[in-house]
Parts: sequence; C-alpha cells; structure tokens
Amino acid sequence: MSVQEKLESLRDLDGFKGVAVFTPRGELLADLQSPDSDVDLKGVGTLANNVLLNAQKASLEMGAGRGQLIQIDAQKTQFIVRCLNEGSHPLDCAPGKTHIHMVLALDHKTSVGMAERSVNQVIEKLAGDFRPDS
Amino acid sequence: MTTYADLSPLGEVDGFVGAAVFEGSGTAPVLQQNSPNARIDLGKVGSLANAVMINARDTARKTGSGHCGMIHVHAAKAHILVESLGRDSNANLVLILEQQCNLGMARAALKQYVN
Repeated sequence: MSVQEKLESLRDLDGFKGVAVFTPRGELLADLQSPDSDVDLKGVGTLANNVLLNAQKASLEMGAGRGQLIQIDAQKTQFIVRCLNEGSHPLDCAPGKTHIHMVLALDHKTSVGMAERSVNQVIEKLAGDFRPDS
Repeated sequence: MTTYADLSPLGEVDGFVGAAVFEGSGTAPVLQQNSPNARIDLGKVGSLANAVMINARDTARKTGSGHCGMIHVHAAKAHILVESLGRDSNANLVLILEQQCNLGMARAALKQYVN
C-alpha cells in the first residue's frame, strides 16, 4: 500500500480537512487535502510542527517524558500533531530509525478520540515508508 | 486587577496533579492549586506549558485558524492541558494530570471553570 493510500483512510474522519507528514525539521514528505478545505496545509503544518517541537522540549524539561501527541483547538480548525520517533534525538533521524511528524487538520464536527486513534494507527503503518537506510 | 475563580473543583478530577493560572508570559502563577501528593514544581511546569500555549496561539493567529482556545499535550508520564481564559484575556489555565486520569471529566471541568 502506498503512502497516499494509507493517508486516504483518514479522509473518512468526520470534519477531515487535510493531513500532512513532515520531517522533524518541518520539511513536507506527503500530504492529502480535502477539496473544500480552507487550510494552507503546508504553511499550517510547518507551524504546527514547530508547536509540537516546543511541546516536546517543554514536556521533557518538566520531567513528564516526551510529548508524543498534541491537540491544538483553534476557533476554525483543530489540529492533532503526532510524533513517531524510533530514535532518541528530538530533532534528528538516527540511522535505520523512523522519525516523522503527522499533522491532521479537522473542523469541530469531529470526534477527537476517534481522530487520535486513527492518527496513531496510520502513523504506525507509515513507519516503514520513511525509515532511512541504516 | 483580575480575580480568578477558585481552582479547587479541578482537584476533584481523577489523576489531578496541579492547576495554575498564568497571565501573559509570566513565569509565576497568579493562582495555583496542588494535589497534596504532587511532587512537582508547579510554577516551573506551568510556565513551560504556558509558553507552549503562547506558541500555539501565535501559530493559530498567523495561519488564520482563529483564537486558540485549548492545547493538550499527551506526554509519556502526564497529560498537560492549557485552556485560554478568553479571547480578550492573555491569561491561561494550566492543568496537569497523571497519565491515568479521567480526561473527559477534566475537559468538562475546564470548560466549567472558563464559563
């Protein structure tokens, strides 16, 4: 199954606006957008990715462990930002270890619990597609 | 000077560790409530969470996504929720919960506090 086909499964979520996959440094790897979406997914995703990085640094400094997922509830759009890091460095990709960030944009008609569950499932399926050579 | 409602109802949420209100990018809470068993520096933890909220709010504004009302960080050992105390306010309420907690109750309690 291709990366795009894996992302397609998120389109069935109520309120789906778009999904994008980034490197931890914010470079776009793949995306899928709803045709009627009002979100500039690449621009928003890059910034949402940055919020995740800040949250990860903060949660580590708090002693709460690494933040794997954040939900940002804005007036027009909700974002779920999920990190999959098989390595230990917060920014880099270790050889042979996948490190990707997924940004899902939704409207407020969605079930957040269901969306988080779907993000967790899809990002695990994508791990092999973005694993660098060791 | 703004006065804020008592935070003690949040203490009834299962998994409650602490809650604090921060104004702007202030590093010291203007109001706080700890669980008796909590062993965290709520001022430090809360100010870090508040900084993440400020970053998210700026991001939402820059991207035309509207006012950022809430963020939720799922960390390995805790849940960190930060709720804006109003579009016209620069104050945020930080709620720290154990990993095993009642998130539905926590969100309802936050909404009730804000309203």
